[in-house]
Amino acid sequence: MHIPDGFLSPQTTLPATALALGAWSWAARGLKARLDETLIPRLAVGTALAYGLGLIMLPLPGGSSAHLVGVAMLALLFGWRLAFLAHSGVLLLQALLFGAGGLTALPVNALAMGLVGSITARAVFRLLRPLNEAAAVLLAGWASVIVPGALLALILGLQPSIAAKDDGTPLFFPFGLEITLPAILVPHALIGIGEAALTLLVWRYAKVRKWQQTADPSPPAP
Amino acid sequence: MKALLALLSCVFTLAHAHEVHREITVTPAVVITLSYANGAPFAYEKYTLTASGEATPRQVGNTDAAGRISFVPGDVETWHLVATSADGHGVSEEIRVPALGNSGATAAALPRWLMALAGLSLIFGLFGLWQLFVKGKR
Repeated sequence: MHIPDGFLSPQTTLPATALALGAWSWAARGLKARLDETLIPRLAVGTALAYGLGLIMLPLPGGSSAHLVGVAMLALLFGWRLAFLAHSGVLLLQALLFGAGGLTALPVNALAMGLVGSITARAVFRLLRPLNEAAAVLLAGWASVIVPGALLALILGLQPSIAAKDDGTPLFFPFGLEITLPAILVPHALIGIGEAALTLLVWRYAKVRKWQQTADPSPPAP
Repeated sequence: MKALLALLSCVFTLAHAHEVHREITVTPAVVITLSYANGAPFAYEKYTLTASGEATPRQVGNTDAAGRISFVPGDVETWHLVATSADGHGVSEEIRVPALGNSGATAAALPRWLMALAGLSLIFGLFGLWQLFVKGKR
């Protein structure tokens, strides 16, 4: 799902960078008060798990490959603001160490996967939790992959309309929405199943160990 | 008779215009191999190859079954390669043609597991420092 460098027009990356800078600073506001000595090691383990999941490549039909994201797990355990920050760090490491996703595309990737992914997970979970907690966690995990996937497919698919030569030749990404939407959504609908299972597994593990207090986005009680 | 010869000459000229000539030469070429992180070839995907400083690509096409692009660089040293798949995978980068016989592999020089370990060390190291900072404050 990571967009590499050179696929997005400056008309996309520049506003996204401004937006991401604002979102990062807003998410980091009051961080000191929200973190205590028990939360930091848990967040470290969650971040490391999300990073590790990104390195395990699952083969997809057609020769491509994909990996789990781990953002729903972070969002449900630590709230969407910490999840966004932690996942942005994961994306930065993946870009720097493995070239998975570009640095110029990092704001777009972070906004889509980190911010939209974690907000989606939290929203779906809060909406469905009163009905059935396990189903809420599963659907939150699945939606945290499919919604950012749809957003990235939209962003990529709009590039030929946003930046093209006079003769219509795309300057950056060449495929339109009619190609990017199915190409990204179909495999991610499958990856979402794995993401859902992982999220439920981690959620149950955390619940047994009474980590739920950190699942609330508000500051934990002292 | 003259008119007939003129007509025949005209016909032959037109016929000649539709011919495609073929010439096979053996020449040093550059082969770029693209693959996914799991080693699967980046096969049958679109690419454009543009010589540095030019606007029009010198070569467009699809990678082969093994994810390869081959081209004859001539005297151009720097090229811009854009290879894309519909699901957003690909590369867009400058390629410097290496001297004959040298490999210009862009994959990480260190093994993947070592890079993964470096990332994990960074995560735990940074969070560890943060923990010490928070502890020191209280």
